[in-house]
Amino acid sequence: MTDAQLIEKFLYGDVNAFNTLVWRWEKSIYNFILRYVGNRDEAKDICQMSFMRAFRNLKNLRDPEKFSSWMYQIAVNVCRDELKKKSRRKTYSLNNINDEDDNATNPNLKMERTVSTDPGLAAQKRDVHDLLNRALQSIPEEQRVVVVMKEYQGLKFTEIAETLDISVNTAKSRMYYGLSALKKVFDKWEIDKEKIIYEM
Amino acid sequence: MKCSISKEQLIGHHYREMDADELKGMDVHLQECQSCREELESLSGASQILQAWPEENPDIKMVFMEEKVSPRSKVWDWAGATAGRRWSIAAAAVVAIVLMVFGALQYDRSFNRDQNVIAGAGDTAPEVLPERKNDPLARIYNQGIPTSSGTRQHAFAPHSEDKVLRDIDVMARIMDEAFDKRFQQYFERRGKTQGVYVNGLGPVFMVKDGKNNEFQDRDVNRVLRSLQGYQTTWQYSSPSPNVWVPRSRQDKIEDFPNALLEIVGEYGHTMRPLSPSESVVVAVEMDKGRIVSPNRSNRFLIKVKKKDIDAYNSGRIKMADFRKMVEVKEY
Repeated sequence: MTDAQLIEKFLYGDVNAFNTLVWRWEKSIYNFILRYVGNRDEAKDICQMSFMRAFRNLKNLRDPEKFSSWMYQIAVNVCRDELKKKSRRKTYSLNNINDEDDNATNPNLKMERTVSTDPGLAAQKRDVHDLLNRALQSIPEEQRVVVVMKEYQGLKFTEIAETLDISVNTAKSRMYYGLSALKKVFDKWEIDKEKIIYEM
Repeated sequence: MKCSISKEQLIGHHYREMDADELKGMDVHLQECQSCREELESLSGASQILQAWPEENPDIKMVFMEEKVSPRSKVWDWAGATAGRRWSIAAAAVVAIVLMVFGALQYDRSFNRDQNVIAGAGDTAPEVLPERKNDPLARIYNQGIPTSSGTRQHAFAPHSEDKVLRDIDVMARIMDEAFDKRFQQYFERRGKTQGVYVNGLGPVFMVKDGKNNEFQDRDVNRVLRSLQGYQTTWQYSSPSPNVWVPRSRQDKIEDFPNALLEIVGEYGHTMRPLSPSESVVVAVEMDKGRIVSPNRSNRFLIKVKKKDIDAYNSGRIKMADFRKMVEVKEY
């Protein structure tokens, strides 16, 4: 059954149709939020808030075929609301990273140490995930959201543009700057794809 | 970039999202332009590194539920439902809950426990959580969203910015749901489970049977008074290790504490902001007519420490051991 059919059932009073939509999309939406906000507990909270908002407003969705874009839109809005509330949280910028003492803060070194002392594969993976999370959180929010939508959610630039209400060229431009910034971070931390694959 | 190719074009080529003609033109250009090739390789490298973080499972249990209400109910009013007899049938039929299990809520140390708490079980009337009738989310919960089929979809959302209070609300909804599932025929709960946070103890939930199901300050104080230095007096009539099977109405009533602690054991861990030493208390007051033995109180409560709930929920202890850690008493 398509999303649009489930929405129709829901609007006719079948709340389980909405549950099916939740089960179908919660993993994608959660993972999007996780990479956007960088914290698992917050991501769970925001994911729930997003679906609650969707539940209340589904009747206002004009084009049921575009449920997923609409859902991402809600998630982005809730994320931005929450990030504003928690603006006191420390954020990293490229400048900060450049200014930091390599030996003290280079997470790559930390990863190597962890790998050498903890042979558990899960621990290694978690280290890599945390590393990538830190890298993502170090780039500006407007670039990060595009990078996450493209790299992890696999959305097309037209979909990203529509979801974020920006032009396709702006989406591509932010993607370029986001990836370039991430590359600089990875270079600074001496991380390359071969090393990541080896660690995994 | 030293050539005329724009960053948008490079990105478009990297993800193969451009016109076929433009793509062809870019391929030709790339054969000649080392700068662009290096740029693309750099972008590609970053992309590949990012892929080392695969999707994670959210570990969220989120179920939206609804209950049919009378199509005649043009305007639903919860307060009217509990007060007026003509609303009672509809009220009994309405179970409007979104069951949200917070998989993980970070303990917010910044929570100011001096606010919204009860100072103790003294003479001062405790402060039950406000009804929040003016809260837009609360209104949605109480009124529901009308649908074309004459039903209303009810949603419960975390009302409070405060994680402890929000969890108390969510836990209360969970218990409403669990009670309705297990005791609908035996327990005429027409009000909502209420919860208060008691400083130094933890959350206290109150479930009341019968027509007058609104907990008053005196009810809360009675519970709190009984929590001081009490001993377990309730004996299970037939403890069943894992499966709860009612045999008759009386047995069902007798097994209330069993069922209650199963509910708390199953869902109590969702109250993450609680510290391990704090307790979850659930007090139940049944209609006197339902108690068969005159020697039995129509009130009982259970109290269990958060650390024991976590131990049960994580599988470190079995239900039989968990049951031993739960304090149960009539009061």
